[in-house]
Amino acid sequence: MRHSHQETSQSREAPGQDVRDHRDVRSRQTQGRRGLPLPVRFTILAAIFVAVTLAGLALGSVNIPLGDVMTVITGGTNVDPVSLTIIHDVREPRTITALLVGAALGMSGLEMQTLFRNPLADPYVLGISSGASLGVALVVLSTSASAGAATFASGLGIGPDLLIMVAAALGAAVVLLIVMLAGRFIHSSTILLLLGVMIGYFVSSGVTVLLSRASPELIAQYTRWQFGSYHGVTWQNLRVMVPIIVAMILASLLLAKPLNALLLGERYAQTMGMNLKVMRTLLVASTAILAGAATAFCGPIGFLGIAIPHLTRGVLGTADHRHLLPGCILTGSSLALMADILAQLPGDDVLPVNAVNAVFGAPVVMVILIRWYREAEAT
Amino acid sequence: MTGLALSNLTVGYRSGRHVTRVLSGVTGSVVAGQMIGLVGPNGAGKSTLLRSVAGLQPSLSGEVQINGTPTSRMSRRQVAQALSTVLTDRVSVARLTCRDVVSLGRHPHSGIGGRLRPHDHAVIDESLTAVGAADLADAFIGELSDGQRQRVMVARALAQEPSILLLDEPTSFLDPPGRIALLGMLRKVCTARNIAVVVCSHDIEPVMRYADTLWVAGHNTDVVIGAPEDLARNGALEAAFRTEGITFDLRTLTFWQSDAGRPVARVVGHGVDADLAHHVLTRSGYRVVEQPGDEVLTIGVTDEGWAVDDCVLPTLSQLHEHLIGRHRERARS
Repeated sequence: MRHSHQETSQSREAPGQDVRDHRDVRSRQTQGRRGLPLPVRFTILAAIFVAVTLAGLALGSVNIPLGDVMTVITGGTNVDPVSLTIIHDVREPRTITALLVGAALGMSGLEMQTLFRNPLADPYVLGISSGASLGVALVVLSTSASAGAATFASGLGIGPDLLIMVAAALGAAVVLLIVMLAGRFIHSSTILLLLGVMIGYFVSSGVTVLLSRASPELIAQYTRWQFGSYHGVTWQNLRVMVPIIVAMILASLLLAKPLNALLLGERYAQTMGMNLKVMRTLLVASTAILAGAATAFCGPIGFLGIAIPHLTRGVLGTADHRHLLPGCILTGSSLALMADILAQLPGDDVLPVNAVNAVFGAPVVMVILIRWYREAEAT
Repeated sequence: MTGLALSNLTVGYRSGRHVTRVLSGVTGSVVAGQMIGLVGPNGAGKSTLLRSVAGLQPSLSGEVQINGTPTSRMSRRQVAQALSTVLTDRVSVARLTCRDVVSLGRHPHSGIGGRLRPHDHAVIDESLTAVGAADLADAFIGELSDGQRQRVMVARALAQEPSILLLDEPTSFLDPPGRIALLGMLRKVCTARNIAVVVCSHDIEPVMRYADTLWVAGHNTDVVIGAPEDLARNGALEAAFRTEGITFDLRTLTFWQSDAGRPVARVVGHGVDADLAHHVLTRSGYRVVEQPGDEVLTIGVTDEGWAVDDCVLPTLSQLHEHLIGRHRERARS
């Protein structure tokens, strides 16, 4: 007791502190960052990632023992041939797709939230996914090769697959640029969000008009694709999707520094030596390609882009993009796959994954809205 | 030459063919260790000038030199290594600690990944200490008071290790003691680190106490440069802030409502009690003079209180009441 008392009295009388604002320091108890150190938090996220990935391979309409899963992914073949086929042809593409889409949407959502300085910005809400849908619809309709294929955007060759990717990214970029242009003139975050939602509807109606002349079969396929699903993606699609998304994720990790600078606003970022035009272009490219690639074969996936960055911030307890970007890869991929596993639970009638996403995503958005409202009330 | 030099700089806005000149032909320099107060009324173009120098908006003509090199021949990163800016933009980001904010100041010196080396961490700690915010390092920026936040933003600017520091209205959200504390801190940093500092403010009275030189921008006047006292003496300050019925008092270096036409009073005595009586007289609607002659009222300072009109009043509030009573009597007669 006596010892600690001495220590506090010494540290309080530190000399040379005359410039400090005494009133502020004494009257306010600041909280600051507390809890587990960052490496521990990352380890937990990585453990969840591994666990969810294994669960993604094991769980489904038929549950496969974990031992068999381990055997198959380590290259063994000494398992039930049916299990082998299920893991190789169904579970692996589904798992890889969900992991990649989650990471891509999480990262592009984070980039958009910082770029727009708006906690509710994400590719789905601001109509970027709709732009990507329009691109996909244009390619599928003009090649018309899809007729007879299992799903809307699969069953094409490598060439058309790449074309779909490019069209989706371009469609996403066009809508993103329109929203950004509107953001130059509209400084209210709320109005900008509503505007983005409207642009999304506008673009979707464009897709509907395009489809109105298509065959009933194609329309049915489009409607199913529109629900969003990781299941129609084939190994062939993945040969295009994996390199593009992985390369874009790795490249986007280099955007951590400009994103951090943008936390203080565009003007501060410029005074710290950031070339705004170049960085904004790179951010738009990264966001559009990530969101476009995620949408191309799976359809528009909702709520991941908005919820993942917030969950990652909450788990890591930081706003530093050098940690948030890799964090979003881990939480994003885990969360996307977890939602899809849950969508499988009913057994034969598979739920649309967007419905599950909404169950955990909508409350996150509601919490953000309430917090936002309270802050606006307080000031 | 280390420091900032502006030659014939014209700033303003260009929209299409329409050009709005806000300030024309500004020529001046700030050397290391010098603190400039860029003062003027709201809307005179101080902030436009500051933003143009900081490279946030293009200037219309003229040249800005940083440490002898024209900024037109420097990259944004090179400018940021030599010049840092504290803006009026309010910073409130969730989960961002003060140390995170100050770390951002290392951007012009760090590599593409933004990785911080031991030297960077040393500079960050030193910057926080220099503004007296070392104990706030782990606090979130959103939970600080205005005064604390402004100190952290200055620390961020210092972490850029600039030879020139620009501040746009740094005192505007602060209370009077906070203003003095911030300007005093800036004065110390300016001298101790040998930085050229430009403080842009409409808060002229506290700025005058710390700045070596004032740059005065008026609504319809060119920028005038000089020592604060000289500019007060030759009327440049009054001209820049020209407002009907307001004069600049040379004794106190503060603005007052014009006292022409008021009844004249005089205080006999010295010291704090005489100064306070002076203040009460001004507040009660009198013009106070030094020399005897045309006064209608004299206040004497005594040990028992303030002597006026054959009575001695022990407190200043009674003196004020008495003076107001005299006004009423005069109005009645």
